[in-house]
Amino acid sequence: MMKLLSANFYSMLHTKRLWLGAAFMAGLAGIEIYAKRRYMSQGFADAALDECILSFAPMLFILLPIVCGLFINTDYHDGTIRNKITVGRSRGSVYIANLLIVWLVEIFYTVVHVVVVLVGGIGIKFDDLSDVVFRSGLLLLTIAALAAVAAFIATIVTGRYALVLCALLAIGLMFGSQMMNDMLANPDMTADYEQVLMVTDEDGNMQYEFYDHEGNKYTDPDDLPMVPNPGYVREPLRSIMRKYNDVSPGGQLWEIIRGGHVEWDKEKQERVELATPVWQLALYSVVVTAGFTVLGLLLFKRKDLK
Amino acid sequence: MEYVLQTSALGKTYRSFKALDNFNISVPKGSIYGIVGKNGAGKTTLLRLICGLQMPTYGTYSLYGINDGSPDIVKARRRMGAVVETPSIYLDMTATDNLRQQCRVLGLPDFSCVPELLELVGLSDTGRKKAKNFSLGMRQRLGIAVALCGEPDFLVLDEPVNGLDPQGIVEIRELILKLNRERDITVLISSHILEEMHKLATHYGFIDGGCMIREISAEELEATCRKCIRADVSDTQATALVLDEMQLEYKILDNKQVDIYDAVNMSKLISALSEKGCEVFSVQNHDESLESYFLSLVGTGKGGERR
Repeated sequence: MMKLLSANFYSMLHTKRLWLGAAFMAGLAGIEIYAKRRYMSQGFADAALDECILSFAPMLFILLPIVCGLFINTDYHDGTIRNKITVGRSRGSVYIANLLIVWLVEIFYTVVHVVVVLVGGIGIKFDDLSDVVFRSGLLLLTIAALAAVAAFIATIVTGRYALVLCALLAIGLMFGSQMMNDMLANPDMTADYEQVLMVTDEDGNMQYEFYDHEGNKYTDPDDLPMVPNPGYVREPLRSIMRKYNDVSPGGQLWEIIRGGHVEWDKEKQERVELATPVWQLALYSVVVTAGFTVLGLLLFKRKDLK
Repeated sequence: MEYVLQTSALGKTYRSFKALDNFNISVPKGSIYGIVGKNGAGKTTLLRLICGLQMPTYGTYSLYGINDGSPDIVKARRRMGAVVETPSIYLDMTATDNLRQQCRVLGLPDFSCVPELLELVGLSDTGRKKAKNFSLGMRQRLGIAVALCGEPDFLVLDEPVNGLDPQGIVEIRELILKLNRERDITVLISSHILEEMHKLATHYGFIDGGCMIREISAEELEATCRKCIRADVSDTQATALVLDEMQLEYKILDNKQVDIYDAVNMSKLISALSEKGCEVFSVQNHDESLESYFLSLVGTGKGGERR
C-alpha cells in the first residue's frame, strides 16, 4: 500500500492540475479576504474571519471531485493502472491508494485556502475560533465522503466522460440539496390572488394591492383567502427529502456552513430554524464513505480492465 | 520441461461471445513463445487474463506453477512484466520519471536500474523530453523498459511491432532477442505478423476462434515448412535405397510420396530409380510458408474481426 501511495503521491505532485487547483483555491481565498476588508471598511461586514475560513468548503466541493476524476481517469487513459495490477499489486490496494491520495489533496487545498485567508486577514479576529475549527473538521469529513463517491464513479466508469459525471455529481448534490432546503421551507398554505400591484399612495408610501381572479380588488390584504400551497412538500416525501439532505454531502455542506436549516412548521405556521445533530452528520459521512468504498472495491475487483 | 505459464481449459466470455474457449497453452521456460492468430482470435484476451487485468469465466492458469486462485499468484506476478495493447506510460513524464514511477510501484529500494534500462532500450539520450512527444517506437521501447523494471523473468508483449516503421520493427526484434538470450527472460509475444514472428519465436501457438489450434516448436515448424522436392513414386522402399546411396536427406510421407530435402541431380536420380524398377510419376518443388501453414490450420473462410 505504501509503495502505491508513494507512486500516487509522486504522480499527483507531477501533474499541473494539482497546482492549478491550488492556485484556484488560493486565488478565491484572496478574493474572499479582499472583499471582506473592503466591506469592513464600508461598514457592511462584521470584523470576523469565521466565514472566510469556512468558504473553502463550497469551492472544494466542486473542485475535488474534478481533481479526483482526472487523477483516476488518467491512470486508465494512459493505461498505467495495468502496470500496477500486472506486477501483483492487489486491486483493493490500488483503489484505496487512489482514494487516500485524493483525501491528501483535499487537506492540501484546505490548508492553501486557510493560509491565504490567515495571511490576508492579519489583524482581523475570529468570533469563535473553536467553532470554526470544529465546523471545518465536519466539512472535511463531508467532502471526504463526496471524494469517496467521486472515486467510486471514476473507478467504475473508465471513459473520459467519468470526469463530466464527477463534476455533475458535485454540482447536482450541491444545488439539489439547496433546492430541497428551499422546498422544505415552503408554507403549507398560500394566499389566493390573481395579481398584485405595487402602488404609491398620496403620501408617497408604497402599498400592495391584491386582485382576485375576476379582477376585483381585495380591500384588506391581511384577509386574503388561503389555499393549499402546491409547492409545499407533503409526507412521506418530506421526511425522505429531509433525511436525504442529512445524509447527502450536498445537504451536509449547507447544514454545516449555515449551522442548520430552515423548515416550515405546520403547527406553528411559521418558518423555524432547525439543526441536525452534528454527530449524526459525521456518522452519515462515515457511512457514505464506507458504503461507496466497499461497493467500489467489490465492483473494481470484478471489473475487466481493458 | 519447466513451464512458466500453463492454462487449463481457460475460458472468457463477453455476454454470449466466447473470446477464449477451453484454451490450453504451455509456455516453456527460456522460450520466445509466439501466439499467432487473426485479429479477434483471442490473443489479447489471453494476455489480459494472465496479467490479472480480467478474470477468467472458467478454467484456470498457473504462473510458475502457482494457480490463479492462490493468494500467492501476486508473488508470481511480481516476476513478470507486460506491455498489453498500448504501452502503459505516463505521457506527461520523461522516460526517466516513468521508470522511477514503476520502481516506486514495485517498491524498489533505489532507482539504480533506471540508467541501465534506458540504455538497454536505447532511450538514454531522451533527457527532459516527455513521453507524449515520443515516436510510437520510442513509446513501445519505453513500455518494454517499464515492464522490465524489477528484473522480471517473464515478459508478456502484445503486438509489440504494430504500427512501427521497418527500423522500429528491427529495433524491437533485436531487443526481444537480446532480453531472451542475455537475460534468459521468457517472452510471450502475440502477433498476427507471421514473418516477424518467424524471426523471433522458438515456440508457436496457433490460435483461432478463442481455441488453441496447435502448439509447435520452431524446429518442428521449420521441418514442416522446409523447402524440398516432393516426388510421387511407384516404390518408396526402392526410392529410399537410392536416396541412401546418394546420401540425400529425405522423408517418406506415405507409400507413394517422398520429400527430398537436399539439392539433387534429377536425371541421375530418375535413372537410378529406373534401374531399381521404380517409376517416377511427378516431381515438384514443395515450399510451405509459415503463412500457408497458418492458413491451412485456421482456414480462410471464417474468423476475421470479431470484436
